[in-house]
Amino acid sequence: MECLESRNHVFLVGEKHGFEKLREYSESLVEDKNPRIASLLAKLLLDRNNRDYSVDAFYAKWRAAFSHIGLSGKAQNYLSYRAITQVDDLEIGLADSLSYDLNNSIYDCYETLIDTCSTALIEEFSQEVKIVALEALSRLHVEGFKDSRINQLIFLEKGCIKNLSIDKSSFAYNLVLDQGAKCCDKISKELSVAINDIEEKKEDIEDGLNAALFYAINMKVINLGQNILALVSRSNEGLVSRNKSLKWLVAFSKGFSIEYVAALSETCAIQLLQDLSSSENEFSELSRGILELIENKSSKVLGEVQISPSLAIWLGIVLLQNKSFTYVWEVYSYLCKVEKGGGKDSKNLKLLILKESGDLESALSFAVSEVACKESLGRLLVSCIFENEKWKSFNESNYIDVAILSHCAYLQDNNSNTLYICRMACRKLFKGDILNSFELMWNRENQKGKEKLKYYFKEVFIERNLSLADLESSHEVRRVRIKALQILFTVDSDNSKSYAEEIKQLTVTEKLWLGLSYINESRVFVNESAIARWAERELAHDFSRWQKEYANTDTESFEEALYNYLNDENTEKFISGLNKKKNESNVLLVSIVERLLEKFLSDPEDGLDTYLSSRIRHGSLKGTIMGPMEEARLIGSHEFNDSHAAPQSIISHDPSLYRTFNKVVKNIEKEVEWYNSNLVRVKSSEFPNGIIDIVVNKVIASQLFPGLAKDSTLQMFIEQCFEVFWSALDSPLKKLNSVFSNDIKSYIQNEFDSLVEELDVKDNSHSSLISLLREVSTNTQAQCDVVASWFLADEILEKRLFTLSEAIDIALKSTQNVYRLFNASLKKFSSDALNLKLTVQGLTTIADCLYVIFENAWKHSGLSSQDYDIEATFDVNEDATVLTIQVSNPLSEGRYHSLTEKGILEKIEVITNDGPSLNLIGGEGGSGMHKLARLVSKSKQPDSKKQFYVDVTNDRRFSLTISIPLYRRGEGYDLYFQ
Amino acid sequence: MISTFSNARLLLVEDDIPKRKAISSYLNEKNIGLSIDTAESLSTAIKKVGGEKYWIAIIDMSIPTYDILKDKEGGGQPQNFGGTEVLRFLESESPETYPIVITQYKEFSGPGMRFKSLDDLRNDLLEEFSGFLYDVIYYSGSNGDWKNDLDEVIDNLIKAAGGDEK
Repeated sequence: MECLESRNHVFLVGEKHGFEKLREYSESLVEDKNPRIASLLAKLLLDRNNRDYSVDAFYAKWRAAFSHIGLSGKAQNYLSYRAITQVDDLEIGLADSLSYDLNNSIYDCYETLIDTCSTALIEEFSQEVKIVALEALSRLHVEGFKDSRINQLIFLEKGCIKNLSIDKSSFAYNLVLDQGAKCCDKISKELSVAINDIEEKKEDIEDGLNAALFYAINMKVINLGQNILALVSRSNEGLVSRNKSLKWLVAFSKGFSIEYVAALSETCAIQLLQDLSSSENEFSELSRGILELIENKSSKVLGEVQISPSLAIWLGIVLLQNKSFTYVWEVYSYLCKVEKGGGKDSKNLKLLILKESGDLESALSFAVSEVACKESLGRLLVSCIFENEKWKSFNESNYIDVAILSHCAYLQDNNSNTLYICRMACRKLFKGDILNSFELMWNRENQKGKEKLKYYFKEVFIERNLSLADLESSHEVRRVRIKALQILFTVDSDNSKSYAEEIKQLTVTEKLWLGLSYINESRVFVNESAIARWAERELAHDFSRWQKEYANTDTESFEEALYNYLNDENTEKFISGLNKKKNESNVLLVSIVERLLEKFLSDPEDGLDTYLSSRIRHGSLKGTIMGPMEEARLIGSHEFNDSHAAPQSIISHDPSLYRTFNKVVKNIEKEVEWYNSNLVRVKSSEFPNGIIDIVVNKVIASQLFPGLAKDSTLQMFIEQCFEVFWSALDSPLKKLNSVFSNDIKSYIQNEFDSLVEELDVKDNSHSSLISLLREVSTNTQAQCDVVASWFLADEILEKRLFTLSEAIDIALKSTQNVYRLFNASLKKFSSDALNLKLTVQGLTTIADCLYVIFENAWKHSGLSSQDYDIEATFDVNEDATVLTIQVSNPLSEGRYHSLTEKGILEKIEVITNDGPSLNLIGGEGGSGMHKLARLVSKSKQPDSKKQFYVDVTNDRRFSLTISIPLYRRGEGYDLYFQ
Repeated sequence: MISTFSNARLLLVEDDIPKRKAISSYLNEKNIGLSIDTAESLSTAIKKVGGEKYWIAIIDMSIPTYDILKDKEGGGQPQNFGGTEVLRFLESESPETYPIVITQYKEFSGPGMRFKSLDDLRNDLLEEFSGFLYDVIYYSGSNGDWKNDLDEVIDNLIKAAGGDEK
């Protein structure tokens, strides 16, 4: 894809004439060549030379772009290598790229071969591959290829210098600067600054790194680019592992310098030094001195001859490996004298010496004094302190020092054992009540101690490090984090803005999760106030009649009957006694209860079954459980499309596997769908498997309810009945919980297990797919727990208020929890409406409403997971009685035509004009608009203004406007489905 | 043959309900006199180990940070190798406990790590917890081999501790 000439040409145009000229040039190329591949190349090279992009951003953008092209893993590796010279797995990616180049005649495969051989030898591929790479290089040498890299690489493996010229100049960054100096002034100057930044500055080397990387990737095809890249890597490497970047420097330099021995294995290096010392050459004396030091005979080489810092570091490492602590301290002193800049290498060497000599306490104390001092952040390679150590080594140390250093070390080495040490130190501190004793500690500490405390709370006291602190939830972790930030806010006024910002972010997250939990807790819901209003209209007359009749009847109370039964335990007598008491008036009361229960369970607008439909059955349950499979692109319209996720492509390329996999997915979908449609329901003749069922035993009811009703107002009686109904629902809801947390979960696990076992037998190369399936299986089962929890929700005790803006964000997040790939951005427009305060009731209604709107955009806009904007305008009328929401989303061309030409819009208009069909409000499938229409059926808007309408605009946007009545409750507003 | 042991506690760290029930029921059926506690997450396991002395701990590798029922956000940050954290905690805070890892996966992967087979995992764990980790057992819902493996391990432990044979 990329021609070297194009790459160099674009770079040079940019450097010589500036980016604007380059943009002009590239954009004309993009236009001329579109849609050819050259156009893509021009875009890519323009991005690469755009300094507004960080190198990481450039890589991220183009890697994401390649992953959407839909190529096989091998082809994608090749594309990535050719276009951005980066591959995921070096060994496999380079093999793929080399085989592509060998098999086509467009490119000369020589450069790819050299790159592959260098990488194989320097990055320590398997021994077999290294042998082949060395053999290839040897043959190129024998065949007479004149390429300094071949000789340099052979030297690195064998330590033989007979083919190399001798170069006395020190190599490291001077070499790069020398090469850079041959470039134009601008490059030379900028490179010099960048490399000095990397090599010498103590803090904030980001700008230097970015500038160096910019040149490295643009000049990677010439030795200078490779060398800059090696220098950048070198800045992040530990002293011990440093010889890898050194090898890259050697490979792309010319000739031999004495410092190069540090890039060789110790055996090769010593052999070479012995050879040099035993013959007459310019390095013989120095070599003898170095050997004497290594053999613990004399350290005179440190006094007599000027050796370079990089060679001194190598000597230090060799002495440490030989446990020669006396001489290694001398090397350290020497390094302190000769090292330029902040002395980071000497400090790192000191740290290593302390660690290797077993003096962990001194190592900790030295390192923490450097780390807590901002200048050294990230420059001291503290991970060495924790290598091969367990927590018990630090159990008696200063926990703040250990926590800070292990935190920094984990950022360097990503080692889980280091993280554990950090977590244990944080546990000890947290359990020692550090939050409450902070003030005392702060006042006791000197300035350095205060810096440490600040650093600990700001950087280390975070969720990842608090997982062993005996906290019970993410919510609790956020709570303690906020407390720590509040403390910092008061003591560190210089950074108060950043603490305030983090507190704000955490508070928003808290509200988001709180809102989501309210939504989940109210999925099993009955609009009790609407049903109570109905009851007060429809049942008041009968209730009052019953109360009058009951007052004139001499009856034994249920409690008395029960007392008598418990005393003589005569069941028959008890039942016959109860039957006798089932008089006419009580029959009336039972019928009141039955009518109320019928409404409670099955009212088409406000009953339980209707909410089960809108908040669970209508996509939420299935979407929540199948979410991880959709997110992994194993199902849905994106099925296997994303070749970035290579494991999925294994399925699409194997017909037999594809069939087996589809069968498993269909089985799971079918099973989930069956449970969703049949069990999560109020039991009825139409749905006999519905688990929600309350059977009113007329005999018991005729005795129980009079006791509740005789001294109550109708309103009180209704509330008591609701309580009884909820108690009666306890058992069916527990059963539904168990169905999802056990039955479905086991089913899903077994289906995935059998699929994995089949794969396992078939082919071991399916490991990445198996790993993906395992992960998806675990996540899908976790989603079953989420669904199960909807049926055992805690009672909402905390009645908090949410702004409309927060409610909208919560609704969006709630929808994304169901439709994982829905990634449209929501643009909110409003005057003051976004500050409208909503009750929890209002929040859940807004969430219901926006869920349907977002779901429509996701399912029916034809744009699926593309990135697009949904625009929403919110408005509250003057007397705050109506909230009007207008939402519009773009449509794909196909969808636009089907909406306007196939009469779909007219069908929707029938619903918006005539109101919802009651049958469909509580049903699923094409019922979203009916559910929305329910919101406005009794809206308090003036009749002249339409409360609910839809439109498709000429600019291909679907627009929906809905007006919802607001009811003031305390400081906030309720919104009800009417 | 299985031996018995009384007055000893076993901690079962497992978030997967069917697997937890299967292991728990099997141990109860065997009637070996162990009192079984369960933990569904890293935080609960740590808390229990901090409060009780356990003779044996059976540990799953992939567990959430917090109990799903207590943490409405899905159990906190995922701990792909949360079992290893429990092992480290046991090793430093309760070294007298005999830990056994029981996993239903044959392959493992996670952010920033290379793919691992069960054998790789076993070797890594036995190396890191040399002399402490007792065994690594493969669990499958579809066959009962794990029961034999678990029998053998517990039987050996009981014998070593001087329990009765029956």
